[in-house]
Amino acid sequence: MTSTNVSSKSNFYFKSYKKERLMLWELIRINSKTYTRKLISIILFFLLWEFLCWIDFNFIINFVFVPTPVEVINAFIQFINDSPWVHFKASILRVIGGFISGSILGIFVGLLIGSSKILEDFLATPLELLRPIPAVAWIPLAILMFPDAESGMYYITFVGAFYPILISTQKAVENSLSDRLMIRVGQSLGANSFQLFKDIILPSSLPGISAGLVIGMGNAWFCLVTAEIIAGRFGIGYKTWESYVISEYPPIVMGMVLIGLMGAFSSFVVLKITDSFMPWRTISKDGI
Amino acid sequence: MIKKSKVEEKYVLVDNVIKTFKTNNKKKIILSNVNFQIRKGEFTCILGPSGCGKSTLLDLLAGFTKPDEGLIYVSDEVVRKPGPERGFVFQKNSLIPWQTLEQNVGYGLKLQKINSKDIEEKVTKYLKLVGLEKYRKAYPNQLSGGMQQRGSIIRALITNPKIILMDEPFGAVDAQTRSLLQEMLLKIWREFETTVVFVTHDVDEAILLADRVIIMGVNPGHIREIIPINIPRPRSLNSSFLEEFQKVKIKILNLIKEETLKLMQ
Repeated sequence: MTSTNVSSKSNFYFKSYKKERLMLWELIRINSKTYTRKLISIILFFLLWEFLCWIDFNFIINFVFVPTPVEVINAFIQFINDSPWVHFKASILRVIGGFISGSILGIFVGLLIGSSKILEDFLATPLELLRPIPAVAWIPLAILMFPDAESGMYYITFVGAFYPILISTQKAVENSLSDRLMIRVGQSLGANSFQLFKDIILPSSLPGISAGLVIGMGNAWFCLVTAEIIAGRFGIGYKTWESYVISEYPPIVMGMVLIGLMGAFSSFVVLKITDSFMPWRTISKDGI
Repeated sequence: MIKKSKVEEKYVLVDNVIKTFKTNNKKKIILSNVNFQIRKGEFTCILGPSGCGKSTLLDLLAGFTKPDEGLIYVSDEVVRKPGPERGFVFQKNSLIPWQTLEQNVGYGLKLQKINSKDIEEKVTKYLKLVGLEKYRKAYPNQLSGGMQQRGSIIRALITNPKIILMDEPFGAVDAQTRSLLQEMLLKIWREFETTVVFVTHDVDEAILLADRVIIMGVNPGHIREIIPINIPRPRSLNSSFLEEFQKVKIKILNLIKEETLKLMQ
């Protein structure tokens, strides 16, 4: 009895890990009914869509020009057979470029504004005035300000990613600075200001910064379409807009779905990467 | 020789300390003219009704806040800011959440730029002392409240401080765990011959642990009385059945009752 007790104690990390996996499987088993229902709901959604197109539904919302799901899938197959990689590559590079530069600058400025009153007074007001300006409104100026269309597009994607990251970082740092207990813990163990920042303030701000990065990644995709309208000859957003201009409707919906999927996927990747920096967190939502 | 004994007598010296807080532009006196001294190696408990300023006094000893008037000396040095020479054990949840137990315990040494091998050795030694060596890789949220407080105690102890300041460290753990932790603390105190100032609101705890109990009064916070506890050591839970224990307990309870009544008037 005692020996099992001891071994279970020494293995308790494994146990908790195993427990998590076990719980996941159990959840799937218990929720299999839910998943079936969800699958049915998606199928019903597509059937309804197909049906509304088929009867040319036209009351307030006009389905006459809306492509059917089958047409969208055909457009996708055609797109894949054509030369999709130039479009994917162009869009992904722009998003990654805008996101990375937005992250670096957003986190850096956010840390400064969050931790220094003087810097907040100097920087926060102009940044706050520029923040509500939507990406579309930047287009004319971006064309005038940047040497070529490509850098203008990077800029607009950057703007989308920058602000959520900036604000989340700032608020997260302010929140960490209000945690008097942890600051006192650091001080009483002999940490100087730099060490306090590095070992206490920064790690405790990570969850907030992570949320900013996830939202920033989503926003970068939002703004991509806007950016690719400016110019560009390639890109998923460009493809969507071009299809509208030449009145070829199925690729519009296909572009929308692709942007949604890639945005969701890249946000997921960002979430997983940032979570790996915070192994100390155990999140139990329904099991409270 | 004379000089040395004097230093030992006045190892901690609180000299005419006044502390005020400002609320709505009104100055409120929290501590007025607090004077006392503590011998080297002494275990002192501070008792008093809530709001008497006992935690404020401990914050001053730690250097988290500064007195408006007066000075505090620990081992002949004026306390000006917090530092590892005065170890602090907080009420609860004070282990750094993103550090494992061993990182927490070794953090003070790491800040002193001690090489990682020496840190590891010392951390292992201290973890064994409180029976936590199995949990060295665990994060604080995987540990029970009692375990966290044990970790917190050795984290304060490992930098070899001149004094350990404890702010109701066992207030948030259950009664059974508390008496185990009290005995563990007494064992550590004997072994390391450290000086301890321990704030509590639990009269039994104060009598069990202390060489002297400082009773604080209210309106504004001041030292009401300092009571020596002459119960023979080593003490354990059984010590509470001694006549001396009961006598001193009644005396202290009456003093605290008086002060608490003042708060209600």
